[in-house]
Amino acid sequence: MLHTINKRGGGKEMKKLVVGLLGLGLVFGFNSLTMAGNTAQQTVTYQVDAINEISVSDNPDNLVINSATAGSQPNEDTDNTTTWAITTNQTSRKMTGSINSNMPANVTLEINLIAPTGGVSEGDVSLSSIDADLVTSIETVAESGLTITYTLSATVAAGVVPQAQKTVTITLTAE
Amino acid sequence: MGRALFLLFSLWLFLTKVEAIDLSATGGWNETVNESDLISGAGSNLVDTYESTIDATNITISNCIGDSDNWRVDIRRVNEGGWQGVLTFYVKRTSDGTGNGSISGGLSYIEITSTDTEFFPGAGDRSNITIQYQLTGMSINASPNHYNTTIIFTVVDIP
Repeated sequence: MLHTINKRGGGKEMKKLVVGLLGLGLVFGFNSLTMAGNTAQQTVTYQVDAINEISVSDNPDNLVINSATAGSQPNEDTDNTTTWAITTNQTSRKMTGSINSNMPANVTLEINLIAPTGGVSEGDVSLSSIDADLVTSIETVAESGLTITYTLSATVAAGVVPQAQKTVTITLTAE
Repeated sequence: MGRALFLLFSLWLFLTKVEAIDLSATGGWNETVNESDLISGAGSNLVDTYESTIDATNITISNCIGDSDNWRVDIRRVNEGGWQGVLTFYVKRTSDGTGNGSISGGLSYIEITSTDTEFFPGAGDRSNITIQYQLTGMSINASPNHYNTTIIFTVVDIP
C-alpha cells in the first residue's frame, strides 16, 4: 500500500516534469520557429577631411602707369581680367594677401577680391609683405568666377620706376 | 509510453532551437572624403555619391536543415558618431555566393534605414555572398569629422 502511494506520488512528479519540459520546449521551440534569427554586424565609417581649396584663373595683365592729367597725380592702372575660386567645408575663414617684397616708395599695388556668398570683402587693400585681410566671414561655400581687381598707382614723387614683378600670395585661413 | 513520447517531443522542440540558421559577416567599409573628391577643384562641390568595393562585406549563411530550408536576410543600421542626416546609405548583393541552396533578389540598391528591411531571400547554406555599399548626398555641408554606422544583418528562418 505504501509502495502504491509512493508510485502515485512519483507519477505526479514525473507528469510535472514532462509538462514542464513540454512547456519549455514549446517556448524555446516556438521561438525558434517564429523568430529564429541570427545577426552579424558590420561597421561602416566615413571620414570627411577639412577641405580648404582656392585657385586663381591666371596672371593679370601688366600694370603700367604712363599718363596723367596736367595738374594731377599720374593715372592709375587697373586689371580685372582674373578670377578666384574657393571651396571650403569649414566656417569662420578669411582670405589674406601679401606680396613677396614691399613696393617701391610712393608706388602702391592694391587688390580687391569679390567675396563669395556670405563673405565680406575688405575692398581695395594695399599689398605689402605683411598679410592683410582681403575677405572675412567666409562660411561653408563653393564658388568660382569671383573677380580679382588689381590697381597700381603712384605719385610723382616715385619718379620713373623700372619694370618689376611681384608675387601675390592669397591664403585661406581661419579667422 | 506516452511519457516517453512527450519527452521525445520536448527534446525535438529543443533541438529545433539548436538548429537555428547562422549568419556571419566579415569586412566593412571605410571611406575618406577629401579635396581629391571635389568635382573640379576649388570652386566646385564634392562628388555626391561614393561606392565601396563590390565585396566590401562577405556574408555566409550556415547551419540550414537541408537545401530547401528557407531564410531571408534583413538589414538595418544604427547610427553612431553624429552621422549626417542628409546622407543616404544603400546596399546591394553583388554575388550569389556558393552552396547547394538557392538565393535571389537584393541585386539592386536598397536604402538601409533604422528599421529592418528585407534584403534578399534564399534557401540552404550559402557562402561568400558579397555585398556592396553606396553613400549619397555628400556635399561640403558635411562638417569635417569622423562618422560611423553599424549595419546589422539578420537571418530569419522562414518556416
